[in-house]
Amino acid sequence: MIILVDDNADHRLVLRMALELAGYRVREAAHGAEALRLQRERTASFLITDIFMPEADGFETIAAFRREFPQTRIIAVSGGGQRAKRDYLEAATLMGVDAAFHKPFEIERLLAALRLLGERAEP
Amino acid sequence: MRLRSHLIVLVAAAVLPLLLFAVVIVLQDVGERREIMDRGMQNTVRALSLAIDGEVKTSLAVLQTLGGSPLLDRGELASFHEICARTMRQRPAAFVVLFDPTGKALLNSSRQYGAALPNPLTGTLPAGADPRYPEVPLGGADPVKNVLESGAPVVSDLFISLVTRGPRISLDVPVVRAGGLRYVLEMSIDAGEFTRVLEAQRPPADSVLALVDRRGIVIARTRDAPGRVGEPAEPELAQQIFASDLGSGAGRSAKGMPVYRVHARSPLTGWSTSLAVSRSVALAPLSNTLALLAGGAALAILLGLAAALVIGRRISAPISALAGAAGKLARGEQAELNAHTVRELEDLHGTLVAAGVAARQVDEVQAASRAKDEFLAMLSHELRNPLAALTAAAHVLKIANPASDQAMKATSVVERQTRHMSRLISDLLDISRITHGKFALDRERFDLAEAVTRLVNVWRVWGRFERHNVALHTAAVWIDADRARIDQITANLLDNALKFTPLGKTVHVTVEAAPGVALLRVADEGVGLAPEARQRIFELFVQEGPAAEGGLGIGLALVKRLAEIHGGSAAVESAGPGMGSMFTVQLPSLPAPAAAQLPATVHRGAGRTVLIVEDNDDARHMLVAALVLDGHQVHAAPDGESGLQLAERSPPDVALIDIRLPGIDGYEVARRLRAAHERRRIALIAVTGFGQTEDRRRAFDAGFDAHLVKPVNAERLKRVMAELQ
Repeated sequence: MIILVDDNADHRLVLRMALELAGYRVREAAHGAEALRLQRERTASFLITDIFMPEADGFETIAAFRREFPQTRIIAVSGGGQRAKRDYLEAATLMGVDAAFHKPFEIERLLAALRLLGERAEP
Repeated sequence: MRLRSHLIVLVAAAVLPLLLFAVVIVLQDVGERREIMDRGMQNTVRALSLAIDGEVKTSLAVLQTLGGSPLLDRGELASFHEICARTMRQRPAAFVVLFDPTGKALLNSSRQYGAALPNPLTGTLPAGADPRYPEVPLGGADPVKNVLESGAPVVSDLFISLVTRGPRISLDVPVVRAGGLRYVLEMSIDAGEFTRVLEAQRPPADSVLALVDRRGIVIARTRDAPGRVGEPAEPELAQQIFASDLGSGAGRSAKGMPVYRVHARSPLTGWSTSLAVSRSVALAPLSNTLALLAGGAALAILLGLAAALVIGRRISAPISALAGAAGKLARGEQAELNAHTVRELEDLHGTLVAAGVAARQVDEVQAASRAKDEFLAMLSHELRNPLAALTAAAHVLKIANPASDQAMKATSVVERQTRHMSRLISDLLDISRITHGKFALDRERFDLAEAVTRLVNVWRVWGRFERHNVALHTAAVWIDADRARIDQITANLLDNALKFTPLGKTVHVTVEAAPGVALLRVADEGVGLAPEARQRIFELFVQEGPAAEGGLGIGLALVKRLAEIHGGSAAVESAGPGMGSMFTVQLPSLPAPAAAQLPATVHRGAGRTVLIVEDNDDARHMLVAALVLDGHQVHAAPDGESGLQLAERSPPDVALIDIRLPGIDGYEVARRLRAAHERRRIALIAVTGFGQTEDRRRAFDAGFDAHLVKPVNAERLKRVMAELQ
């Protein structure tokens, strides 16, 4: 089970389809608070979150997940931008995410990361 | 400490030494005046003393002369008495007495010869014997004894005469014959005579001259003589006299008035003369000087303080103003000041203003640099997001069944995201062109209400309003404008309103006519604007509100500049944060044309074959949709080669060709089409992203019949196609 967070509805839609076509079960959220609500309802083993500009909703989400659900794997994606003179993704990596991707990224690479991190597809 | 206090201290520092100096000078002056006065008084007193001495010496000379008379040798006393009486006739206040060596009075010039005379030896009584003069002895003591003791003439102190019972003094001289004392000759003088001598000195007003004997008893004085003669002198005068032969001192008169006295003792008589001046009179010039000094000093200090206050205010007010201005500069506000009365402050003001301008310039440069950095970050984000969606969509399309729902959804994502990106890029290019002044308007007359309505309807069809209500209120108003640019304005305003309006809220789009102008209003129920943000919001790269909304900060800047190059303006109103905003674009309007002047209604070109060569899928889809809806046979290709192949299969009546194409470009496609279909009349329409006259010229050179600038407006396309029929 994967929770997908992105404020861009189109990106969320196609990414969800790509992940579903790869055999994953996906639930989507438009922002971090919704993602947390979904996770509390039913625990997902993966979180794929966008690092939104620039209120750092993504960072708060990552921090909340790390605190409340330390076993959940996190993959961060970002369209760029800096936080405290550091690239968002670099900052996210420092926060202990399991993988990070710059937009745009090859879906195969995301799928490879998921496999590597142990998410099992449920055909 | 305030500046005024400093100035007061400065005044005090300047005035006080001056004051001290003046006090020293005045004291010195006072001393000198006192000395001069002293000396004058001493001279008066000495003169007086000399006058008294002269009187005494004259009397002694008379006595000596009488004493030398041969009548005395012969003992003819009766004749001697007659001479004496005659001698003393001019001096009624004095008389001569002759004593024998036993002290017996033999004759008195003021009495008949042979009359009984009191014996001074036996008649002398102690002081107080006369109740009128308690301090003065009665009788002239023992003149013979006195003369015998001194062997010289003797001057007495005051006594009460046994003869006249009045206060007198006496002068006694020995009469020596053949080496022995035969007689003592005495002259007795009424004390009143000395009062007359004193008065003859004409003492100054408010002053008293007095003659005091060796015991300190007053012999004579110029004022109150009857009551005071025979009384002891004032204690201060007595002390003064006993202390020195010549001196001065302060004291009080018998009546208690403060007086200043100078005295001198005569070595001849041992009597002292004194001059007493009322101290108020004596010191009057001094107190005048002192009063003048005190008044002057007070005035100087008052004037100094007043000047300090006035000058202090003139200096401190501009300084306060400068401080205020500096504070304003520190807060980054504009600070202007008036000219000053103090040159240094004027200089300081100039420097401050220059510093403020420099600081503002630095601020502006920094702000511009920051805005540019933020813009680049946002640009990256804005381009990466649709690319991410496109990448994922491409992946889905590669994997999914082409007929599946997923493939359809992915296709629509591709369309939406490419449309979004192409608008983004065209906005960027437009802003760049406007900024560099390379912007040509393709003006035509049309109804703003119609144009806005069409765009709103297109967006509604595209599903852009799924999450909001959009209410449209229009009234026809004609403008002379570039239709594509007006669409751009409307689209950007709508975009902005949708971005900042919460889900389910309403956006009101209004077109109305005002005198001479057409108004396009887009009002939202969104986040609103703070007052200070209202002007800034139209600046390039400036973003207000929750930045998480994204965007490049060029949309509203573009709206404003496009409105301005149309001779209009753009403004925003907002009651404040959270109260929504209303954007108003104002454009010069035209009178509505008469029905006959309306552009000929485009008739549906019945069933023409149209070839579209356009590499941008979104643009191609739009063109295809618009032309198919108009009833044309449409064939579309994403590049020149495949477009030429399509033309081989279905020769077109009209070809819409994008100039920038992968592989062979639009000019080449046009040339080859013309070459391949020499006999067929094909209307060639160039479609480019560049509205430059150079592009138009090149297009016509390449054989194009018409030229359209992206984004292609459906109405205009229809009209161009109708014209080329």
